[in-house]
Amino acid sequence: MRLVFLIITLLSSALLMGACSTFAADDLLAGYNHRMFNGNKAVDQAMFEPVAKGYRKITPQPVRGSINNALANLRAPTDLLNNILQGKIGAAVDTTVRFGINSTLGLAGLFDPATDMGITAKPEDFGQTLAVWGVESGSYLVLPFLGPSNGRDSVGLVVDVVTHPFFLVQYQGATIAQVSRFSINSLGLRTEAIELIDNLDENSLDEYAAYRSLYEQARDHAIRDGAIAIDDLPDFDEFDDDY
Amino acid sequence: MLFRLICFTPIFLVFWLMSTDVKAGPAEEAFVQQQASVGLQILQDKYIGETEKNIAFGEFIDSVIDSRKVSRFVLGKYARNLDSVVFDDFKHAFDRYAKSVYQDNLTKFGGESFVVTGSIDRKPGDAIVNTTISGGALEKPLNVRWRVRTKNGISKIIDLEAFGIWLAVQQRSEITSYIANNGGKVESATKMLQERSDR
Repeated sequence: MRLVFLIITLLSSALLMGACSTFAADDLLAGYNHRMFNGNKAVDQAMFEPVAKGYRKITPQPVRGSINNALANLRAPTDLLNNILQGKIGAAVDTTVRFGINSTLGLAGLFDPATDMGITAKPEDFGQTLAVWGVESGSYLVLPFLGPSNGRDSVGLVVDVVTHPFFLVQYQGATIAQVSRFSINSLGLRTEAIELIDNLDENSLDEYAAYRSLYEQARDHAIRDGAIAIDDLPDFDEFDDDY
Repeated sequence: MLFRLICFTPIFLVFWLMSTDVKAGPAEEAFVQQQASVGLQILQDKYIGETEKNIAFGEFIDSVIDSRKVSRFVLGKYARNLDSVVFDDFKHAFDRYAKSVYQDNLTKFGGESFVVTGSIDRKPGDAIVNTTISGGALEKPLNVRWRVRTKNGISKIIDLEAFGIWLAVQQRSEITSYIANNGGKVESATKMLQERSDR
């Protein structure tokens, strides 16, 4: 009952943020966001980056790949729920079949034979579901430790956490299991992003704007499942002088 | 069989008319395929030194990218009513910086193959060409979209996308933010780009 109440409250907040965003600038919390971005950057450089580089050094790529596969397999219930909520029945079937194959033939998800069989992953989260339902992104938001997000995706993140089987099923050591899953998953993501973040640090002209633009474009791409919205592309003639 | 064909003919016609409306002409696809071949040939040439390769790739970039249009785009609102000397200085610095970033990454490439998989017209003279790059240094095939602007029969690339990230859109975010944080002066971005290129 409390869970249902929490989800309803979060959904109401998301819809409200979406409605507000129509009338407001899209970085309403710029001051807070800049401070949080700089704080996250300092923590990353002092802790996450060295840990990620160390992790990469001591674990061979196939081992990291298998750990990532297993964690992705554990996400299947979240993917399935959001496939269904978005009305993607084919994707829901694929997610279920993948989970079955990878949990058995793939030895609890350590390997990914489903992809070799042509059944590719269809990852979805609740932020994407809200977007498909028409909820606007709301203000850009930098979350402590987690980095770029927005109002809609932050609500989505909470719903993803509270609807995950690891959170719902009560068992001894549940908290340790949840924290471990989150930590290893974050470590895997940070390790995969070493080159990207190094490249951004070295070449971006304005780091805050670079991360924000990357996040917004990548999220839009994920929401559209890689399809292109040609009418949403910017017009190159807008500030032109010679055409 | 004939009955089915007659029944479905109107539907085929509708789809054909729709597709002729949105599909880009083969000219843009041929342009991307041809220029990509030239670019890959330069990258894969084992008989020229690094300096010559950098020069050849720089000239190639100049010939295929509409750098004036891209420079105005990345300046966003700051391109409006901009003094031509200030703009030319920015364009020169932006070109130089972009090439220096490409050239730093040139050694990572070689052996890739490139296939045009289709195209779509955004509006007349503004097409998006879909391609897949595979092999070489790439672990998995990479889908890249090229935005091609054609005017007076001359095609030029104005943007490209991979993993959902449009490069010029990304650069515009960074450059306009930098200018906004530096008193709205385009010269500040020009100076910073020059410094970055000289590093």
